[in-house]
Amino acid sequence: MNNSENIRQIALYGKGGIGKSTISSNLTAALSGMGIKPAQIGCDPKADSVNTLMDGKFIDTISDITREYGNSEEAIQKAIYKGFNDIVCMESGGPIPGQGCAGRGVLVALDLIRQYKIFEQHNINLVVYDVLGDIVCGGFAQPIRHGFAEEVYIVTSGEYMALYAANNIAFSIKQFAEQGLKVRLGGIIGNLRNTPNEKEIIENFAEKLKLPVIQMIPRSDCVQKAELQGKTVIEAFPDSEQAGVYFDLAHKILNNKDKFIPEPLSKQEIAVIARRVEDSTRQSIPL
Amino acid sequence: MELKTSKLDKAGYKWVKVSKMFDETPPVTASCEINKRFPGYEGLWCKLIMAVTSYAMTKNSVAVIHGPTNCAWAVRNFCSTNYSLYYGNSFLHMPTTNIDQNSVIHGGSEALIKTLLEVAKDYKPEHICVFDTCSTALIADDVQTAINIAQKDCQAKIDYIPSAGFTSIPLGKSIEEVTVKYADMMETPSVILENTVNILGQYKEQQDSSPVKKTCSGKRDGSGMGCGKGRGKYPDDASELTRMVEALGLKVHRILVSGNHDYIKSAPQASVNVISCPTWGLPLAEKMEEKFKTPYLRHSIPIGIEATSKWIRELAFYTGKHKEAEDFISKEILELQEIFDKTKNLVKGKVALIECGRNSQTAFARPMALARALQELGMTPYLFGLHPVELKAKKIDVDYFLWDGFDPQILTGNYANQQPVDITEVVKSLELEEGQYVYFTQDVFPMAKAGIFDAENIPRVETGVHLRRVINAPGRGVGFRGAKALYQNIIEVLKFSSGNKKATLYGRVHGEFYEFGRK
Repeated sequence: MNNSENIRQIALYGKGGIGKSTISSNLTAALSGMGIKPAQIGCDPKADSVNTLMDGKFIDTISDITREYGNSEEAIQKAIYKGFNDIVCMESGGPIPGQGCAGRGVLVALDLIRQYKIFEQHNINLVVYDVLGDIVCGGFAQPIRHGFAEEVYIVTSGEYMALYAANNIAFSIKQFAEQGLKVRLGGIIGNLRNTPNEKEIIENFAEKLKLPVIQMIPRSDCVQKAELQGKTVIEAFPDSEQAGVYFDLAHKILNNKDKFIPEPLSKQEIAVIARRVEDSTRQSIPL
Repeated sequence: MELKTSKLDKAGYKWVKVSKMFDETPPVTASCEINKRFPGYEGLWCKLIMAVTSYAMTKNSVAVIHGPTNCAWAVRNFCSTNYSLYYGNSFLHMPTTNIDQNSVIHGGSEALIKTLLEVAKDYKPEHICVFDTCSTALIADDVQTAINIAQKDCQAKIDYIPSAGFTSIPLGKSIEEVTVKYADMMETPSVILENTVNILGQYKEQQDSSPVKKTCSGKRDGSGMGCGKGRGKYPDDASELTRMVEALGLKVHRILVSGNHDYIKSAPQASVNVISCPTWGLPLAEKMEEKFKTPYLRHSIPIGIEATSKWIRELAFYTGKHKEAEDFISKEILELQEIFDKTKNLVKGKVALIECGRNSQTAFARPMALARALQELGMTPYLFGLHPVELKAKKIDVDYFLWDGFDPQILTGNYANQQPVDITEVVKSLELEEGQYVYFTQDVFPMAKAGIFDAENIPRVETGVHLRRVINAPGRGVGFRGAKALYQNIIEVLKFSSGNKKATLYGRVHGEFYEFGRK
């Protein structure tokens, strides 16, 4: 059984629909081919984080299982799946839209994983938490609270709303750090949408937040093609250029020793960026 | 009695007008704020408790608490001990939806619908009322939609009283926020019944209570005279208010909160609302005026001749029964004049020390009404034992008495750890000597914590809210008969305190009536 102190835990946050699940799945898939035994935990009631690791299948969530079978260790085992390259896959799950408390669902699921030492039992080296959009409430902050991930990566594109959400996440991380939590930012992952001057916008934004850009991930048709097959790019197109990008990302994260407390921007500063994004979109001029 | 500087003075207590104590007390925010200024204050209540308790007066009904079973524990305890065992109300069933963590995550609507249908099948009530809790409100369970779904398969009418408090609130505030919701259970009347009156804020319809009916074999007439020989010399409030209403040629339509759902929903048929207790009655009266255009009387808690006369005249203003009102007032005052004069001669110039409570169930409106009646007797009233936070929560009552021009002195301080102030210290703080005051207590066992106080030589009138509502127990009732009972009691305790007798415990507390034949 692996010791919990030896398990590296990272969390990916970012605006909804920005590509966190795609990056998380390809990241864990890449890591699994590098001698690492990773686990991926979807922290979103949509419960679609790991399905490209599971041949496109949607798995039973911890929330579904505990609702039906209770909170015993035996019950929780029913929510543990092994996907591509034996990657341990779990989804916290949660209520149907418009009901209940999704944040509470995440919180309870992660507490149960910790309580029953699921990572230790499966000799996991590295855990990736793929968290819903933003830190909207205490439940979605659970992956970065005591005993969980102390390393966060923000996924963003060069679009204004994605940057706005990224800034909010940076703000929360700074607050948590000031409150004494060990959580820090590892850097920014740029998931490019091919908007004008996008790389420069992201780099400029990261510089202002005093964060490194860990990786720029270019837009590629491979991603959608792989997802339509219910697979990651790593599994479906292992020799593709895009797979190489994900392997790069995995290497960089694996070797990243730097952790940062960000300096989030004020609303006025974000508004300036918005205007520049707008100008660059119209005129395609560098920032 | 030895005169020394009172410990109360040293502890920062002072005598101020009620209006000043109200203004100087900060609004109730969070308990940590309260604790800074009023250490150990324990008078904050869960809103759910009073919400369900107010509903406990309705008959043939079931309260469904939408939340964890543990939320219902305190409610069940309070309702069953206070309102069922103590006041003789019928037992209220209050099942819960037994919300657990899974329901919090996935939503509790399903559990609520299931519970409502089970309740309808198993209890077959006439009415079901849903009360939500903090946990189900926090996840924004759509209670009304769940009720609408369940209602399709349920004969009993289902209503909803939002009762998630999130933070504790003083008792008075809790009552205000809940009683207005009864207007939602009422139906717009097709016809207004002429010369009919609702009594609001009277939460026990004692004439209807089964113990009374049983004891009196159905012969109790609401006159306040009871049915057993020598019993019931003090009328209950509902009986006396009914008597006064009927004396004007009017009819009591509904006494709220009580009765079954049909009784409550038809309340707007009355032509006017009168208020017995402002906290319980005024918010509902205002809501009924807004919703059904039912006018209401501003005067309430008519204790004493003057207050009762004003109450009756205001009722006449709304019903046009001016002649009947004046005739009735004259007749009643004539009957009371002798005992009023006798009492006044005994107490005129004395100080009335009026205790508002010795625990977190303090009272304000009733002691204030008593103080107003005692001022009419030539006494100078001083109120004490009311925590400032409790007063702050009684804005409705405060506003009423200030509107009526009554603003007596009250003892303000931090009332640390909700401890009652010692009557001997109160006496010292006013530099009173024996014979200069009458003590109006507010507890069944007022001497429990006052070791050096001589129980036998001090005239002590029991005004306990608890005893008042027990059938045939003495108390400071409303109306002319209530005034008569008050005067009788004052005369008795003054007579007793001047004699050198050993009394029974109940005799000491209640006066001659409980002396079991001793004269």
